Amino acid sequence: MKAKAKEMGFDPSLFMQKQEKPKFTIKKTGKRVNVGGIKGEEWIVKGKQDGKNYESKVVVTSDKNVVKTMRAMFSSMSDMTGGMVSGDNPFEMKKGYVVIKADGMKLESFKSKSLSSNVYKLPKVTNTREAFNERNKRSDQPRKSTKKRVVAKDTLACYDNLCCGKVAGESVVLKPAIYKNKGGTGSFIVDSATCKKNALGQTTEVVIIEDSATGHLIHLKLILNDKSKGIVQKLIDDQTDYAGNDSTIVRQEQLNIGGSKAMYIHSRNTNQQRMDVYLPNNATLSMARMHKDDWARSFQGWAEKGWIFYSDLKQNVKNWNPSKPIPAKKASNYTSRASHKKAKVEEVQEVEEDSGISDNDVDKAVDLLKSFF
Amino acid sequence: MIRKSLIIALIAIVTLLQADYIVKYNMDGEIMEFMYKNSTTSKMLTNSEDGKVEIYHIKKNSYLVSHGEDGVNSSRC
Repeated sequence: MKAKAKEMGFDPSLFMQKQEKPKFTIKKTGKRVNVGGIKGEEWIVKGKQDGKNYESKVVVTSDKNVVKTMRAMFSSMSDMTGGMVSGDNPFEMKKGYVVIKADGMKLESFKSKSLSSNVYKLPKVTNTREAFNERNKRSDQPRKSTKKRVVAKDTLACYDNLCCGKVAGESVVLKPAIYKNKGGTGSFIVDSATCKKNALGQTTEVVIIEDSATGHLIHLKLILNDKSKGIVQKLIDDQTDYAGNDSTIVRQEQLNIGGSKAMYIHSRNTNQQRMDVYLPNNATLSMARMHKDDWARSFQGWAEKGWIFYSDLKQNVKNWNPSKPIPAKKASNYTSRASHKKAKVEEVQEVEEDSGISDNDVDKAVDLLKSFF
Repeated sequence: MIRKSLIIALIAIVTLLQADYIVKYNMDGEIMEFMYKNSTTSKMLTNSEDGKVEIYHIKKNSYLVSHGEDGVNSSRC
């Protein structure tokens, strides 16, 4: 399960490493603190980690419901790490006390509320060719749907929306290794960025390229500290999912691209071409092309054609310094489909607010009705 | 009157027992949400630049669902 989680982009071991439980002593200050609506008490934790002494303030609570929920949450995370004993629970510093505030973490809220059973229902897999075409058709027409519907169904937004909107700055490793095409035919960069580092420890850079011969977008993602062997292997392993959807791969090939091992797949149902190039220093360049109608050019041919300087890219990867500040992102004229959709969503919201009945009002009314039962 | 109070108290207890717990943590700027119904039903949700990742625990099975650029992927673990 741990391997599966990593393949899908969730690396719990990184998270667990951060929460590694060192040897420590606790001093109770007696100070009462409220965090996220929960009453807690302040402790000073002293210990030694990596040969260095440290002292840190934490806030813990003995609220039974919070403790119970946090134990269940840890158990959930523990499954992802291949099973850890309960004594290693980094949230529970002392039996019956869980941390609600510490360096880099804070309890935002704790609620007790009846949730619909639908919340725990598995969603349907949507990465089918038909679903993709349908979404593209819809994106070209005015929408009548509400905000919630637009957001929930927009699962491909990140394909041409840099870093899913979480941009940290300019691309410093990948973009400099791509041919700068100024005019004429061929491919050119439409947008690029370094994405915000997530809590799971992965750093990625994204460059979106337009193949002007076909007008198709090609999505390049460089995963710099990749421990899950890219994205293609995950798709190969998950050909049939829990819902029985067959994401049959019609073509799978091991290649050599720019002197590095690569894996190519063409998925029938998603009509998606993907290629992962395995670079030194645990980096993976994951390229994807997904389009509506035809297969005008070989994706492999495109990858080899010279738009990407692989030797420069490898050198940039080796020189990459994760602690170096990321420069600000350069302006781009490119507007993603997702941004267009967002603008439309905002228009819909305004109309709804003018009518005097907002989503919040409806939610409150539903909650009120529920409270009678 | 006593009977009415007992019924109200009973409803309150049943509602409390059926209530789910929703905990939200901020981990280095990323929100992690955990919804807990009982020992056999829970869901954890995290958001990252790669998209949304959900972990479902339903009975004795665990499922990992990722909402990324290539759509919604899932696997039983």
